[in-house]
Amino acid sequence: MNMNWAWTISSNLINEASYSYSIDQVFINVFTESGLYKRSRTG
Amino acid sequence: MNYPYIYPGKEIEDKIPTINIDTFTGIDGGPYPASSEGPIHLWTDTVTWVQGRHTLKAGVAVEYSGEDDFDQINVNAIPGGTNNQNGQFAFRNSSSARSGLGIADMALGLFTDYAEIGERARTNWRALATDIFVQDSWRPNDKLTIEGGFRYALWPPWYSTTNNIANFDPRFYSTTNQAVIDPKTGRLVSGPRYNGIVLPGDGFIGEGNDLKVASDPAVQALFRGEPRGFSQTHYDLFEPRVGASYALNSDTVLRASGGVFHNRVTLNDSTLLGGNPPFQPMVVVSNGSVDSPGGTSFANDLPFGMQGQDPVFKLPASYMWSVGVQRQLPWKVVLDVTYVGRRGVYLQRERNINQLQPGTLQANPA
Repeated sequence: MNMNWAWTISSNLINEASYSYSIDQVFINVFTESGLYKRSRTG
Repeated sequence: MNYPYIYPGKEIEDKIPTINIDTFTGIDGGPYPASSEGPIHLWTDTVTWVQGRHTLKAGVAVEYSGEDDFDQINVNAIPGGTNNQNGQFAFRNSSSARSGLGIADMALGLFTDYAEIGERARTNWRALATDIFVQDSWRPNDKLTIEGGFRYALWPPWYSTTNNIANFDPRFYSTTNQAVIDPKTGRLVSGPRYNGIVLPGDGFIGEGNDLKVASDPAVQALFRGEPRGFSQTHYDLFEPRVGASYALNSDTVLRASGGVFHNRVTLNDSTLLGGNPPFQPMVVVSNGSVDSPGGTSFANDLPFGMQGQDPVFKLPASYMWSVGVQRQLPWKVVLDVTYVGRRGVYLQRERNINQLQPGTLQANPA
């Protein structure tokens, strides 16, 4: 999400404000399809 | 393969360990599954004022961000350490206590080193960073432009919202009460295991009080009033910058610039101290049997492996400068010759603080 506000106060003076919100999400699983990760099978 | 864990209760109970055999390619079970999630709030405000031949700007940027971390810390600096919850075996050719051949030891089920980490800790990291700046672009005449600016950064270190992070700090290590390890077994004979470990602030906050270890008096004693991020907040991150360009004629421009810059060290595997004991213990066992890596003592007499963070932790800085000339050539070609210099200091690194210093001599070598 991002919000910006540019305010022209006069012909030679400007104020720019902004706010942003973001979420960082990371999930890393093991590769399970082959079953090779199982120590009961591969170990 | 079926051996008992030293710390039962894995995210995937049936995952392969990591196995390293000298002269053979290793099998790496890896640190996963892992996850992390966190918010990033960023506010900025910039004012621009054009006055005559000056263009002035001033601004502020404030970032509040963090990561609810459920990853595994980096253990590169810990000898024999592992990032695999399900354990790591090493079979070395150099093991004098065994056959002398790693692959033979593996067949016998006799490891040189075994490392395992306990139940993973979740750490909710947060930090507030503030930057302010002013700058001016000045054109005293049509041939010359001078730009100058000044930036100031205030970047306190990352902290845990519940104070569930731990550091090893030699300042708190008591040599009069130090651990004694049997060199034959690698197990503790005497001395407290928490010697030298310190927790941030004065106590657990909020959900931190719900941790298993929170009620342990030996853990409570590790709060020493240290900064919540363990390292100092540096108030001297001044960053002046200056640049100039001058048009010698319609085809040639001279340029020069210089400035100071800092790098905010963000959360990374080397700084995730939530994975340290007492929150997530890691032990290394030497010369044991695969049938029972931890032996019969349930790991209570095994020394911890852990990582520490520099309580000073200067932030990486770079000093940059350049001088150059640009010349317009025929056929819309531009020749640019510039000398660019950069010096970086206080760069982040990991090191083993138990490593012997160069020039160390063995006492009684005979």
